[in-house]
Amino acid sequence: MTADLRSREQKAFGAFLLMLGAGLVLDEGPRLIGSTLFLFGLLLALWRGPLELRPSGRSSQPIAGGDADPVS
Amino acid sequence: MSEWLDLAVATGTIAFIGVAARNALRTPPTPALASTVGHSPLLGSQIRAWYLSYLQPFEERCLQWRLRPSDLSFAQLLVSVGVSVLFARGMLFTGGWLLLVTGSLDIIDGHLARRTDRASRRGAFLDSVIDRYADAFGFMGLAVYYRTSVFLWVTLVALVGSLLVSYTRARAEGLGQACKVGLLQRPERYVLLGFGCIFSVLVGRLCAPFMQIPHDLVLRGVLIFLAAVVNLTALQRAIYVWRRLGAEDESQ
Repeated sequence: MTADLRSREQKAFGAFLLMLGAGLVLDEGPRLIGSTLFLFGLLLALWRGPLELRPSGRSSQPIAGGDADPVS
Repeated sequence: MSEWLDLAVATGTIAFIGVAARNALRTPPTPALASTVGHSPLLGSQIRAWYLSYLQPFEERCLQWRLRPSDLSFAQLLVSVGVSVLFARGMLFTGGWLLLVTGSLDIIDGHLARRTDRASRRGAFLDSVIDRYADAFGFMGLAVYYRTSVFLWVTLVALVGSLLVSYTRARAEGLGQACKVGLLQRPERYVLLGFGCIFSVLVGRLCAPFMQIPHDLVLRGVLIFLAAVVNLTALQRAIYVWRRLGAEDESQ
């Protein structure tokens, strides 16, 4: 994996943890776990700058449409 | 203390979503990229390209771990069951977020199938069946959540419309007609319902210090909109196929 892909993976994983943590706090789940996940996710997502589009990173394969389902 | 934590997390989440949305809209994708990702009135090619660029590393991981597309389809089914349980328990934010994750898993499994040359009719069939279950599980959870409210009926109308949108296309394709028309296809439904749940909770928490509003206010609006527009989409597809088949029958 290229550095660009790794960076995007880190940001996307950070966003996943951040939203999961926010959900646990705001849905009145385990708050300590939720706020820890939220802060850790925020750190991961913003570590190397904000989320941006980097079209050059997707060079190996073209994107074949967002909807993978033949029946939507 | 917990009110302040809620307020801080809600503010941080809104700011994060705002930054992500601004960046998604700020940088236009290259024309080559924009032409491959598709376009719809709700989800333009710019947003699709931005989102798919963040899913690509996970595709690479799946390839690295030798996962099969069907593994991701079953994972999607499992997460959908989780979404249903979370909605039924009133955990709208977490349920909405995981609903968006199920949509992402569905996108990745299709890409993985094409990249590993495993795209097959059997896989497409399994994927379609699991997608229908995933669609239904989300609405089922909301139906349980609204079991004592009039919004139970709105949810059921949205569920029926959502399944009919897919059915009309499948039936049309069975009769030899392509049918990709329609305002609200599946990605749009996922995005609307997922973000509807998320923003319901966020708006409720942010307004809590100033006024009391129902914490599912935004979701109620989204459900009414979905119930109306998915059924319109199903009707739109039915009329489209009716006319196409009529024209074909006359020409024979």
